[in-house]
Amino acid sequence: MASYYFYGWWSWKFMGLLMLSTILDYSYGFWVASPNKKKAKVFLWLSIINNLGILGIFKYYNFFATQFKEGLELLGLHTNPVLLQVALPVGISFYTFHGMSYVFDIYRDKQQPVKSFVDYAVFVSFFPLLVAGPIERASHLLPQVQKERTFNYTQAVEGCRLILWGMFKKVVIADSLAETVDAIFNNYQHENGVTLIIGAIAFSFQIYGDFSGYSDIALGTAKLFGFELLSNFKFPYFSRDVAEFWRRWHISLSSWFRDYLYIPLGGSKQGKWKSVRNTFIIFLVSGFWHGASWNFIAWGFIHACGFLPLLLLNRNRKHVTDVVAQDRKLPNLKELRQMLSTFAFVTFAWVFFRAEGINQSLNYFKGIWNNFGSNFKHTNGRITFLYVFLLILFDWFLRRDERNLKNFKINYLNTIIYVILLLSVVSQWGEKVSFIYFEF
Amino acid sequence: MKLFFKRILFYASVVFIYLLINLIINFQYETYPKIGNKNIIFLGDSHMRNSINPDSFFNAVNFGLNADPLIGQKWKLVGLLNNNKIDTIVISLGYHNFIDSIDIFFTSESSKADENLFRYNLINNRELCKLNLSKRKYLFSLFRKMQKPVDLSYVGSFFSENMVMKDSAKSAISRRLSNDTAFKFSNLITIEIIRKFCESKGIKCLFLFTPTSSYYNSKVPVTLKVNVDRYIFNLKQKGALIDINYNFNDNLFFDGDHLNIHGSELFTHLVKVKLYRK
Repeated sequence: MASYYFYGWWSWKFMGLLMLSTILDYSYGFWVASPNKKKAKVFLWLSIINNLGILGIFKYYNFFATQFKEGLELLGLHTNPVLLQVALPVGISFYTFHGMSYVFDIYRDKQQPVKSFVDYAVFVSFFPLLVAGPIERASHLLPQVQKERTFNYTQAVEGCRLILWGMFKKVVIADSLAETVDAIFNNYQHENGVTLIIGAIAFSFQIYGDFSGYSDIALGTAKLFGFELLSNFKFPYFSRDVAEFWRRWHISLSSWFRDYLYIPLGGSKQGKWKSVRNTFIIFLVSGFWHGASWNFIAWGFIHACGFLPLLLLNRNRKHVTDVVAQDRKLPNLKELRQMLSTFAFVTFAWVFFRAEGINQSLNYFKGIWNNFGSNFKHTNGRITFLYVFLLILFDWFLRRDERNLKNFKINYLNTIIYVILLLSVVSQWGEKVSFIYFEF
Repeated sequence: MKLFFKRILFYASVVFIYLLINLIINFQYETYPKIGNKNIIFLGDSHMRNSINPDSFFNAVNFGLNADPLIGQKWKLVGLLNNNKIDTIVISLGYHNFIDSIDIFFTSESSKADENLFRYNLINNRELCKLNLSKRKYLFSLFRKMQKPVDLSYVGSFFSENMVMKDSAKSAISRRLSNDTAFKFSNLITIEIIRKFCESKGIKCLFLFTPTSSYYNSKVPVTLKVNVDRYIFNLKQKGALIDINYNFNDNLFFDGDHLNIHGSELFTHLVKVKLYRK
């Protein structure tokens, strides 16, 4: 009820859609569990069509209609397709994927259908992850929903710490950077090259602070209720190559596509060319999932191109379990070079993600190339870059322990840090910018 | 659980004390001395943002925002007026304000208008403090939807002393002011909406036609120019226009339609003289 109330606060009209998706997938779960595999497959496909259909109508219909119209105009034909004047329901990209993963897992005998509709509804609509993930798996979250939970002090304190850290990343870092990023991207035609580069880097940290901050808040909130959610970020900007980046950025989405799209397509087990094909499909679909626009597809394509050499040289699974400078305090030169080049590549791709279209992205790079001046005028953002530096430092020292505020043995030190973070958040609080991933 | 709530209470108290101190310190601004007895708000797009220095005026703020549509000024006013008392607003106009289709996007439906209102973030507190405001609820204004200036400096991002007519600016002007560009009457409706709104709130509403370079002027289609000039003349006759009758040399511009530092200093001075004479 609380989750539906939370969702309904945004728009009570789309609660019906959430409920419909929940009822349908709950029902499909029983039919897909049938011992008759043919029948199960039919209902599996029905679930896919249903979920993708909902997503397609609300998120992609206008895009395809517009592209269809432009395609016909190239042939000299004119048409006026009806466009939907409907807002994108918040969280639709997430809860449809929850439902699909539940049905898939039942089909693969990894999960039994849940008898209690309420338990299933909680899994789909669990409010901390409803609007922007992480995308949970039924086999991970449902058992926690079904079992009795009691208040755990340590877990609750960890949750609060995560929430605080997430708020700091979102409110203090991401929202402050948003001002500089917006100023630069909205006026990129008049900015010099160095400013544009700084704008791109600032966006890299803005989206990291925004999205990982939200994930931390979601994970921390879930901990308050006794739930442990899947980690979604593991210090992605310390990655040494693109493959490692995708094992550390938006982990729930990349693993979802790996398990439910890449592997069913054959993965990397059917020869090199099919692996290449599947890789491109995954990245393009991932880009398209983020938004119905060519620049998101371009972003996915760029990452596919960055991943491809690693795949062809069999280096895509090089850094699976270890972290950079595993047994050292600082990275060596090779690791530093690898991290910087991966970060530069990812930042290059982010320009396509942030820009309003491919033309703007290309003009942005043209601006860097043609106008390499060094007068950075957005001096209001200077203190934020200090915060970013502190964030990098903090993340660096936490990289082995995953995300959490370090618990110092000296109690008052913890208190001082929490108070500083809390007051930083409160002092910046009024200047609100919505979460970037709410738009997906 | 008791221990947990005790800790939460401790940190909540810290936040409460911080907010209380913040309120007390900022409350001092309520007694900021009144000089000139005017609150002037400059509104508009980059033409306003980059040409008027509000510090030259008594109790003035410049809320121009690059690429802001004309109807956006009404939404900014709605946000401001909920907590502030305003005497005068000055809105920039240019030839581009009479051709853009962008206003149609923002005025067609009330729902879109709500989205437009939402895009304006919080007002910068320092800008707010410059105003002589009555019954200003400081903390409440922190949560109002109001535009935040992109850059505190009035010259915005154009810290240039020279004319820099880049190719991209030239082509942008050429694209925007092609011979197909027509005068859109919907923009007049927008202006009337703003004027009527100000009238209903007892605010003096003035318009300011911002200067443009000779290159820019040469690109303005003749029919557009005739219609706009006629309308501007009407505004002048009604006393709703700050008439700056001055020929700005091209070396006072940063690009085709934005003044550089020297141009904006001069323009600010001219506007100040006219405004205080009114």
